[in-house]
Amino acid sequence: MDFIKNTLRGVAYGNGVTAFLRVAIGLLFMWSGGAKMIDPAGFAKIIGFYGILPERLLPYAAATLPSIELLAGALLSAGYRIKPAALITASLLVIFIAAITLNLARGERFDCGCFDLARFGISETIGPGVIARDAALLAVTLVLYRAKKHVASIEAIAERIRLREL
Amino acid sequence: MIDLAVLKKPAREAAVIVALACVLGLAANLLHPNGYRLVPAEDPVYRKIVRIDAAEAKIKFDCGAAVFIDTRSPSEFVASGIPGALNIPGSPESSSLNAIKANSGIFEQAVEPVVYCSGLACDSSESLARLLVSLGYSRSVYIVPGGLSEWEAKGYPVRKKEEEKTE
Repeated sequence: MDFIKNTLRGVAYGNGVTAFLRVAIGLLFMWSGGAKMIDPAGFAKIIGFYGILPERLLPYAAATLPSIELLAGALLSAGYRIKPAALITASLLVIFIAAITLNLARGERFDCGCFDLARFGISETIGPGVIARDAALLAVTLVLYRAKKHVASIEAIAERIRLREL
Repeated sequence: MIDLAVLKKPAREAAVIVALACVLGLAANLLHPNGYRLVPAEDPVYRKIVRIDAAEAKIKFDCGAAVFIDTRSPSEFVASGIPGALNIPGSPESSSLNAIKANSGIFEQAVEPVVYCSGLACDSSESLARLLVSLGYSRSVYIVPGGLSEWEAKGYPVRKKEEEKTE
């Protein structure tokens, strides 16, 4: 029991596992943003399925949302501006969860267009499974936001250089 | 719990990152070959493009006043399609222009182009419709966003390669 507690404490403070999770989530968001940027029309159609945004805003959302994911993911995996990047990814995940829940309540069933995992045979049809996955990712991003230390990151390297120069 | 006062600085930085990402995203969209033309809805090109469903397209099909244009690749077109449709691939633009030139006689007649591709996930019909309108070939261009999959799902006639062989 103590071992689990200590491990979780270590992850929450920031250790190798935290760094791994940060890089993994960063790469996932980069992949997701990149795939959507390649096919803006396809992504706009998926946003349209959610029935939340007015039609005239769909192209703008399709043009900007993927780049937000891409940039936030790149910052997270590189370990630069981790707190704001984690805040952005957490906000995006909250929006995704709310949108999916709303459409699930409406009785809709379609590919959520979240991380473009369908090409690997992983179903992303909106449902409780997708919400649970996004909630787990949200929990991880909140851990990243609150972590005090970020090993293997640009921020850690910059801090080391700063301390050496003191 | 997250302290809101501590949240202020990361929130400000996050806003700068989001703004930067939006600018980058819009710039990338401009350079993207299939990027959106972010113009007001009043743009004449958009007014001339009319989206219809498969049932409305079927009425035009039955009247015979429309020319159906399949924007999928030639190989997909050979495999199946709406009977009597022309194949003008939606991309690359050079292929589209060549195919339009080759079929210019048809566009000079009083016909309504009805453009379709495979389904909701494709955008080649949109690209070709924009191209046709910008070339001034027609007063209006009709797109079937549901494409061949919607047409087929409604049980409307579809030409299949096997059928042609047996005939």
